[in-house]
Amino acid sequence: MSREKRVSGIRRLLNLPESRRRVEHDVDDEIRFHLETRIAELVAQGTPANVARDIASREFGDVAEARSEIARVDRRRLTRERRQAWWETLGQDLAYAVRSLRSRPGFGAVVVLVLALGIGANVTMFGVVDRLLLRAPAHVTDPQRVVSIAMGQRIDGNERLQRILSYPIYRDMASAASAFEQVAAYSPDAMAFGRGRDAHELRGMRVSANYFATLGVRPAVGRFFLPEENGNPTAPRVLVLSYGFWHRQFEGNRSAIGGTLAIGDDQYTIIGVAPQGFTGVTNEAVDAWVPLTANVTAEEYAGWLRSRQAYWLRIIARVPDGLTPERASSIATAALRAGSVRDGESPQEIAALSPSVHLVSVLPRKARADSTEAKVAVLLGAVSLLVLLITCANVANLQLARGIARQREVAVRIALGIDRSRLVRQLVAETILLSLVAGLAAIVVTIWGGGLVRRVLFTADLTANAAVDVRLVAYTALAAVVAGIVSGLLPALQSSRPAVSDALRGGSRAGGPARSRTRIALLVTQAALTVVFLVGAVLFIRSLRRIQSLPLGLEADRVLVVKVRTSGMRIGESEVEALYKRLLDAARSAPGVEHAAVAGGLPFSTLWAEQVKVPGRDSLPLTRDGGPYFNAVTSDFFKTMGIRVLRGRGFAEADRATSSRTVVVNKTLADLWWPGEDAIGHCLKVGGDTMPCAQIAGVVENTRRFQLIEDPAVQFFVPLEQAPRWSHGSVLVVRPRGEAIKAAESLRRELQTRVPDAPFIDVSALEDLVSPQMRAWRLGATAFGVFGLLAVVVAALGLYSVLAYDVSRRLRELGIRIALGAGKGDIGRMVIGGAVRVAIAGAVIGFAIAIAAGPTVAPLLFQTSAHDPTAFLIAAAVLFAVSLLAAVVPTRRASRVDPIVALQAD
Amino acid sequence: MGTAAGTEPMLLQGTLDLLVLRTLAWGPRHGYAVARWIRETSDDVILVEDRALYLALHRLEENGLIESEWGLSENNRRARYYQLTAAGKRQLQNKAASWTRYVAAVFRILESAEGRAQA
Repeated sequence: MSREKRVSGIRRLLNLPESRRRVEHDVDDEIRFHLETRIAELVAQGTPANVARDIASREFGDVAEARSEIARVDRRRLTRERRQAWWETLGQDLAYAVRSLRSRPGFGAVVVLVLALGIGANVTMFGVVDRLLLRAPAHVTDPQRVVSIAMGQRIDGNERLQRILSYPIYRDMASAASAFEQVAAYSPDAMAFGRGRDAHELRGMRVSANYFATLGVRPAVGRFFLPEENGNPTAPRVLVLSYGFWHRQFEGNRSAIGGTLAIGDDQYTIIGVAPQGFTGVTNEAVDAWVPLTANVTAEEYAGWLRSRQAYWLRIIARVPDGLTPERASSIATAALRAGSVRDGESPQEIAALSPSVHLVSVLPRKARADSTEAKVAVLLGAVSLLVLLITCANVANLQLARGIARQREVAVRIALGIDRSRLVRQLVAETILLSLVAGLAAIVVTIWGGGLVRRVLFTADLTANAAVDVRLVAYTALAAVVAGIVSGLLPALQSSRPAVSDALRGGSRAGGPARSRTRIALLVTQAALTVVFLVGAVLFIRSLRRIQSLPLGLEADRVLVVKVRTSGMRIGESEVEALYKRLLDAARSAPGVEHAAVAGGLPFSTLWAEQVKVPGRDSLPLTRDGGPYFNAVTSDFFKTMGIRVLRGRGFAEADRATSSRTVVVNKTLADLWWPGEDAIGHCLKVGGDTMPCAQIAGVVENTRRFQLIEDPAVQFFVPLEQAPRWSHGSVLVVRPRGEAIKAAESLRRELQTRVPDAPFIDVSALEDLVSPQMRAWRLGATAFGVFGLLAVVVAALGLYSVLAYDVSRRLRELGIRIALGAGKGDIGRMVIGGAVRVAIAGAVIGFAIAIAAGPTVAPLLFQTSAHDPTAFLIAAAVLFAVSLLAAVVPTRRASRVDPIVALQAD
Repeated sequence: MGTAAGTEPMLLQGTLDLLVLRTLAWGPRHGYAVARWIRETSDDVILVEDRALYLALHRLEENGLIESEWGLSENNRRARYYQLTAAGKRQLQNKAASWTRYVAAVFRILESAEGRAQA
């Protein structure tokens, strides 16, 4: 047989594909052979050469066209064959990878562990960012056309956005028919079902009848509200269950539809179930939806219509397809102003406030993009990508070290004629395989730990859904494959081009300068990124510390907040008041309670403002934040809350409705209204000139009103019994002994037992109202801390493995050095020197990155400079300590080299 | 009928493929040999442009019915040899049988029509 034929046989045997360039060449050869053979034949029959040429070419047809047609067919075949071969050999390569990994299980385990950490961190952060920012509200049709409506008003020259609005404004919006297809309103309302010990809280949501239609949601079972079930306080009482509540309470039984559920004092007919995971346009979990007007009396409804400034309602709308948001908002603004005029606001007022309608997309990436939480989450998402990068660099380094050990094997394969791209694929297949295993481990970790992370760091409503879903698994698979390729490609490229002859001879055992440069570069990269994370961790921890140590003026961690769910109950104001009074008595006599008080308002929750006059003064100065604010409280309020009385006294039992009127003022009021003198004994006329004088009995520490970070404002306190009826008790505060949160459930049971006819009693920690405001910093501190720790561990592991490998590779050299008289100290310094050089380079580069990233991070920090030298110092110190630690074992091994053994080896 | 034949439209795509497969049934041969065999065996009745023949060969190879290898020709030149694959042999059997039935049927119809015309 021919030589050519044998060569092509070998090519097939070795799976070497034909090259595409060859295709054209072969087609030419084939055609030329045909024509020349035909001509020769004709000539042999006696045809003159020129005639023969004509005949042959006529018989053949258009040569150029034939060439291109045939070449096209061949190229197509080649591509398909190659693809087929690729998949066929992939199986072989994976089997090869498994064999080769099984021969060194320790190596595989380390790589899987490192990658699982990296991928796990990344996947957890993806889950958070996905839920917080990427995912559109579930079950909403065309969510990009759904907007929530906010009202902008000019106050003190600044435009302020009001997102919670009033019923008349809702009606204005509904009248702007050309701007919106549908306008719906909703308002969360915590309700209770059952009584006494069996009382349960129901996370209710009052919605207008077209709420579901506006969002384009279809019921999972039954139906949603009808138009006549809304706007009419006497409509039948109906409700729609959430899918989760339906399953918890009715085991997902369809017969629940048409049945009833007792809420407050009334029976509600269940008409339908919302689809699984539907929570409207926010992530807040809901148990049931009721019509906006459910259980609202005709008088109350008339009140809604009158009170343009009573803000309690959220409004959403669907913009018609093709209408720009700008156009829709200008139509809506006109409707809003017309409504203001109709409700009696003067043109001057309207001109001063210049109210306008703002349409805010409900897509989370638009609606939440400005929140600190979202910014921190995005930052952490980016950081988690860097964590993954570090782990990839690390695995690449491990693989490189291993590649050097496998040099001879690779050289043999190349000498046998294996294609380089195939070899690279075999080597990359190994890391992809490991990376996929690591991805699986990461998912397990996410199931187990991800929910915890989200619960601890984010709003509770993010935990409403399962921790792992299709999107997360898909992302994990993607991350795993990419990580496998990234960490495998560089080492594979490096080890697939060894100096074949050298490696086969086995003479040179060194990795070559290029390779060790790559490894050093990878180590330095890891060290640099580690420094960046450590700096970030310290910055966020310091921010969190600072924010936690802000004086709030009260002891949030010592106070429990008790509220009774009276919504949906026919219960008058005086009955509510009486109920709180009984609860106050019950709380006071409950075991483990130090103090308790009833108040009209609560810091971080509700606050009242009221007019005040001081006899003989025309005007009273206020701070920028307005006021004066006031609170009606019972005698032990200050003791319960831990608010310090600076001068004079707090309230006593003696401050009754009938006794002389007293007030307690805060420090800001005292300093602002009576600068340089004692405010005590002065007269305040609460409610205006016509009111009687109330004497200032004491001055207390300033407390926060709503925000951790806010300016102080003028505030005073009135004994509950002397306060106007409308400001009376709506909350009970209790100070148990020790940490408040631990006593919450026992206090709830105690109160529910002592006041058995009370509806559901809700006990929560005041801390819970405060701490969400620290969430962004807590998130940053925790995540940077965890990522920093991860980076430190991974970097140390990487440094250790490279140093250890280096030492084992240089045993002979070290042996010679020792034989030539090098001391143990010299050898040790050599190894440690390498580690220190990596650390120095890493610290320098890391500092540069951290300084460059400063402006990005600065707005997320609190009272901490992004270039805080302490953070940099700590980061550098940790890096050096860890580097030295990683060098300990290799150094000891190096200095214990026995020259005789080392030189005899190999 | 004979002299009018050989114009390309008379030769359907499937027919050429069948002829090529049949030609290769005796063993590997190069494109030129296939062309000559078809021409000579059909006594120049079937005239195919060589271009079409080569295209058919490469298409058959693409479809896995034949495979090719480079070898040396009788006059010691580099030539591409084609041979049937297992799939090609199966295809040949199936198509040849149905083609023969088809031609026989056409032939019977033509025969009877001619007989009646003469009568």
